[in-house]
Amino acid sequence: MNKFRLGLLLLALAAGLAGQEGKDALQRELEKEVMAPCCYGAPVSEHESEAAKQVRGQITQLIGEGRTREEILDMYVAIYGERILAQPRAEGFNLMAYVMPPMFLLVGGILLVYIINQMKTPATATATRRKKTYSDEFFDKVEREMKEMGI
Amino acid sequence: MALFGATLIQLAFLLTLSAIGMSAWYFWKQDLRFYVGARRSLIGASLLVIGAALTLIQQLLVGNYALEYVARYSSRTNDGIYKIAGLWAGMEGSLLFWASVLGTYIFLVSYFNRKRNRTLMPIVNIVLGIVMLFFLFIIINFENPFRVLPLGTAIEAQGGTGLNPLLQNWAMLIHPPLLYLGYVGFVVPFAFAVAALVTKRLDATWIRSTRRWTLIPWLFLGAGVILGGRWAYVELGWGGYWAWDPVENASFLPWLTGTAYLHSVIIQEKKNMLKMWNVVLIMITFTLTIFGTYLTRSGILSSVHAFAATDLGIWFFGFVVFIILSCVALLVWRKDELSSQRRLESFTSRESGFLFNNMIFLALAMAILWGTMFPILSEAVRGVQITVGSTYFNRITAPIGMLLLVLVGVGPLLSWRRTSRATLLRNFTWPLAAGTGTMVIAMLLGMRQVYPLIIAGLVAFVLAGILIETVNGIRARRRLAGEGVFLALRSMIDKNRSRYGGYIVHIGILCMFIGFAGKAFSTEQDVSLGQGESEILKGYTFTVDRFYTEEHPSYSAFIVDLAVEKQHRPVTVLRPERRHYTNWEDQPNTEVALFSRPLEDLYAIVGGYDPESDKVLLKIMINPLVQMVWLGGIILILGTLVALLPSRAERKAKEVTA
Repeated sequence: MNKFRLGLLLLALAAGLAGQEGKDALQRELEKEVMAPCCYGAPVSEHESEAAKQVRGQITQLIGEGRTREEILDMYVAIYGERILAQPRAEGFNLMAYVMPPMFLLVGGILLVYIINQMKTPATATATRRKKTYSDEFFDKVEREMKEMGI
Repeated sequence: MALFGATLIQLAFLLTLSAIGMSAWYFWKQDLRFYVGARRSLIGASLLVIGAALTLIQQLLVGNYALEYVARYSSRTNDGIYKIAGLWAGMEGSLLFWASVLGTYIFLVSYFNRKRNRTLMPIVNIVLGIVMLFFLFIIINFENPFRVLPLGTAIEAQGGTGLNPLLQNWAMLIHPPLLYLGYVGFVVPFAFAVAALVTKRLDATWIRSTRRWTLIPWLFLGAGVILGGRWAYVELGWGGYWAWDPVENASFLPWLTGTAYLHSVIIQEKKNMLKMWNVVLIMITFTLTIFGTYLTRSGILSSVHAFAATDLGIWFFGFVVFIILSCVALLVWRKDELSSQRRLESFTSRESGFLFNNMIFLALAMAILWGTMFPILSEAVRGVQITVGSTYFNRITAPIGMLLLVLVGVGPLLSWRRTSRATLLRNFTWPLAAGTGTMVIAMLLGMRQVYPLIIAGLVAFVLAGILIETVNGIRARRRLAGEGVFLALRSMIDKNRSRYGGYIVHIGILCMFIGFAGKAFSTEQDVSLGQGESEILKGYTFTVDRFYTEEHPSYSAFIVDLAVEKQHRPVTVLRPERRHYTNWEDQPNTEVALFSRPLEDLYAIVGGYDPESDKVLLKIMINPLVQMVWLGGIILILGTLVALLPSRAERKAKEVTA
């Protein structure tokens, strides 16, 4: 029975420690996701202003009260607007922010495969043999004259 | 002197205008005297602009606080060296600096091409002249650094406001000039590309003529970006070196597209292919440099680097639009001349590898540009202000960066024209084995984070590829020329400097990626400690020995002596400071205390002091592998220098012609 009680005690202690670790991790995560409301120049994790310090304290308090990550972020958005988030939420119009970069890669890749395929087809005779134009002759003449003048 | 400086700029404007006019006249009338006149005018204008910049430096050094610019960006208490930094600390001076760097490039281009590229140079001069004219127009009409303060102004009497404390750091003395040398330098290959289009000289001549003119700004820009990272790391006090700030991004974008260009020109040099692509790439690169200047000076994006919001935005935006439209018109005009006469033979060729590398560089640049501009787009479309910060950029750039790393390894393993199955198998077996083996070992050692694991594998893959290629080259030379190992290596590098210089740059990039991966293992702790109290972090014991205040002529500093021990052995004493500068009371400045070891950095900053508890607030960090980022930067510079310097054969040929 004593062993059982000791086991329960250790289990509770471990759960408590894990809980604290989880809170710390959430704190760190949130500090990186909320911008300093003084200048919106850096997340509160990196900013040293009074406003940033205040937000860090608030986050600790809110986590202590048992608020979830989303609840805390929602609260800040309600007060300061979407600008307070270090990255836009992937929803609505903001989804474009996340969709476009992989699209650049995808479209670029497809386009490149197409171009390489095109470049693999043999060149036509007209493309390979270019006639000398008036412009060429003009510039040849200019170059000759410049050489003669020693410029 | 104010009048003298302003007159120099105005004269330079007139000379530039006449240079452009004479060049145009030369084209119309084909009278070569006008070409000579245009060239001399442009050189004269450049020297005048350089003279104006030197005049401003002299005014900063002697402390002529009657000049508004000197009074705002310098002070009696600033050290002499930081007085010089005043040149690029404010909008007016930095624009003059931009123009003087352009003037230096114009002078050098004219000198080195005095007997070369005779057909291209008149057009090159027109392009360089137009860019110079734009900057001089802005300086004269909006941002004159030689404006005199009204008599008896307080700022003059107190001897100037002084340089922003954040800029009072050695890296800030070098970082902006390097960035400017990089930014402005891309105008040279751009001008040659335009000249090649206009004169239809689209073979590889203009590419060969501008190889060094491209490598030099690329090197400067790269070194400037890395040094900017170093400044952020030691000065801004958040423990990182890259914050994906809009202005940082603006400097990174032309470097990325410039890198793509440096790779793709190899194909035109060797195979006379991708003419259109190369011209487009250098046009994009140059446009991005002006666009970056626009971002920094328009005030449309908030950034720690940006100058105060001004009306200049519309002018810069107009200039960017002018450049884009002119480039598109030129490309359409010359599209028939730009078609390649040679064809690709296979997907598994080095040519294709270069093309994929280009595509990924461009996709990465587009993704960063998209993220940078997205807040503006959001405000325009939804009327909602949003932030796109480092979390976003890390998320979108990391996978693209990995792909790029794959291609850094794959490219050199492919053969020109076509790689047979047997060659593929032979070239890829060892690098793949090295990559996979490294990942397995890293996992066995307990590494579980995905990105660091992939980076470890890819670094080994790329490194093995370079090593095998180099060893094979040495073996071949030893067999053919009977040289010793070191002599074979030396002559191999000397005979193909761009290739091996490129490999050295790749090794530098690998080191940087190792440094980036180290970020995943960094540890930080906010602590509040009284005198004699300690905190243990990752086996290090940090003890506050004492804290005190020191008075200096231009600032007062709150300093903490933080003794660091590991396993009861003293490691170092960190001395983080919090400074209050006399003229910048509202902007307390943190001075980072940094102790670098080969594998990790100990990093501390003072957050503040709580008089009630008599404790100091400290942020302590242990940042692994940051040194690899700086080491990578140094290797990158060395590699570029190897590619830049002439080979023995080139030097001999020059001696013969001399």
